[in-house]
Parts: sequence; structure tokens; C-alpha cells
Amino acid sequence: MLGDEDASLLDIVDNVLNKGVVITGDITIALAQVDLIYARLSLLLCAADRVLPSEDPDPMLRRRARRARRAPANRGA
Amino acid sequence: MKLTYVYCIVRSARRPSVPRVPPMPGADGIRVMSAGGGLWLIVSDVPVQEYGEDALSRGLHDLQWVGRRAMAHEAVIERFLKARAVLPMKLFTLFTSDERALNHVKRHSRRIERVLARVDRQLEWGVRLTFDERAGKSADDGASKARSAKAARAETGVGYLSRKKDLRDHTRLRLAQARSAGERWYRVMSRQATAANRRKALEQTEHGSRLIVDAAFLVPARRSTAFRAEVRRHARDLSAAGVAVALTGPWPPYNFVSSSSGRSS
Repeated sequence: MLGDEDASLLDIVDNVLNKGVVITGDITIALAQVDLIYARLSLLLCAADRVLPSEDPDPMLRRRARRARRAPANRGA
Repeated sequence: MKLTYVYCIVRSARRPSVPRVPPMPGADGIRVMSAGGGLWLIVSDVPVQEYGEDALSRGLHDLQWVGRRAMAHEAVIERFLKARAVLPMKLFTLFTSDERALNHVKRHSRRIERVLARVDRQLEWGVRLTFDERAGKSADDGASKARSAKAARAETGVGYLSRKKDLRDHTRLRLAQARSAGERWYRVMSRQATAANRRKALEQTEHGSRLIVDAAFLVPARRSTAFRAEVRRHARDLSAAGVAVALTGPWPPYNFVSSSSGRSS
């Protein structure tokens, strides 16, 4: 990848999980599991100083996201 | 038992060569399969123990597991950025056999051709504009330091609050100006691209820094250098408004291959 800023892992995961051509393969991923990845991604991104627009209406996740934003970043995953 | 893992579809007059990057973890290697009509499927054989529904269900709970595979998936696709067109598959597009993969591409050939035409000889670039409240402040530091040094000893409570309010108003004004500059920039850059796409950027990224534009641009490959130069040129003007510009790319055209995206601006 070229660029003035290294594309982060999280950008890549967002692209490959959420975008890309949809061809319904033989193996289907349950939507709930992908949503789970997104919920966790959102928390990670808050901590890593960037936020994906959250479409998740769950109030508990939003509270946790706000708390994560105030907490020190832990860039490990 | 093996499954057929599909990374991407490539349009190329000649058979593309096998990319020299590691395949998906657990895969035997990478293969190039002809789908006819100058289309090629880039695939790997992967074991069902690691990529069947049960394994995926477990793996999707683990960001490390997903992250490793996302990186491998992306690395393979990026090897085809120089091809005439590449359609990235979503992560974990899997078939029980090569034949089923090919049949599926044939069944969707009209849609695939439409999307391939949209991204023909194009590359995607990502740009993020952020406003740094502190950068905005530091531009006036000299003057305000002189003012505050003078006022320091004589400041009353009301004076203090009034000064704080002025600072907040000033920052709000700077943010509004940065937003306008960002909107203007996006309109100008969109006109120079084949297509442009924006995510709503409402969230604050970190304390003091605000994401004001989060955009993707589809640009003819031959205009890559010119486009990047344009972005850098505007970056100089934007930095005067306290706006930082972050450019990434070239990307496979993730933002322009779904049925709802790819609208020209």
C-alpha cells in the first residue's frame, strides 16, 4: 500500500468484511457474527482514535464505546 | 475435504501470473482459474476444518483470527491492482468446488460485467480530512499569549470566564470554517474523479481532533499521479484552516462494487 498514511488493519478489515462483491457462496456467515465483529471493531477504533459511524442501536454498546473513548488506547489486536 | 476460497475476479486479456504472496492461512497455494471471456478467478484450496461454517462461526469471535485472514485476503487482491480491472470478493467467499464457483460467476455474469465496466482501468483512493482544534489554536498562540500575559495579574473571575468563552467561540468558528473548506474540497475533488463516495463523519476521533470528511474516490489509473498531486496541493491550503489530509491507496475498488455504490458525483 502506498500513501501518506499507512492504511490500518481496521480499514482493511472494514473493507473486506463489509464491502467487496457479494457472491452468495456455499458457506454463509451468519449476519449476527459479522455484527459482532463490527461491534468489537467500533470499540477498537474508538480506542485507536478513529471511529466508524455506528449503525448499532444497542444502547449498551454505545455506552461502552463512550467509555472506551475516554480510556487509554490499547492498540494490540 | 477442501473448499474453494475466492479472493477476487480479475479482468485481463492474458492469464495473470500467480501472485508471490502467502495465501490464506491454511491454504495450499494460490491458483488462477479461467472463467472465460478474459475473466479469471483467483482462488485457493482451503481445508473445511478451518473454513467450514463451524470454524468460521468460532473464528468470527476472534479479531486476531479475522485480522490475519483479512490481511492475507487483501494482500492477494492488491497484487492485481495493475490488471485491467479487479473485483474484490467479500472476505470468506467460499464454494464447495471450483465448478460451483465458476457456475456462480456465470449465473451472475451480467451484474459482474456491469461492475467490471464501472471500475475498468480505475483505482480507488481514500482521503480523510481531520480538523485539529489544537492546531487551530496554536495559529493564534503568539497574539493570545501576549494578551494573556498582560491580563494575567489583573484578571477577574468574569474576565476569566469571558476569555474562556471567547476561546470556545473562536474554536467553534474555526471548526465551522474547516467544515466549509472540507465541503468545498470534496466538491472540487469529486469533479476530478470518475466517482466519489462519502461516509457520514459525525464522530469525534480523539479529544481535540475531528473527522470532517471521510471519502473514497474512483480515479482512472492513468491519472493516479495527477490526482495525488492535486490532493497534496489542496492539503497545503487546508492546513491553514487547521485541517490535516490523510491519503491512502491505491485500493481495490471496495467502495464502488456494491450494487448501491458507484454513483458518480
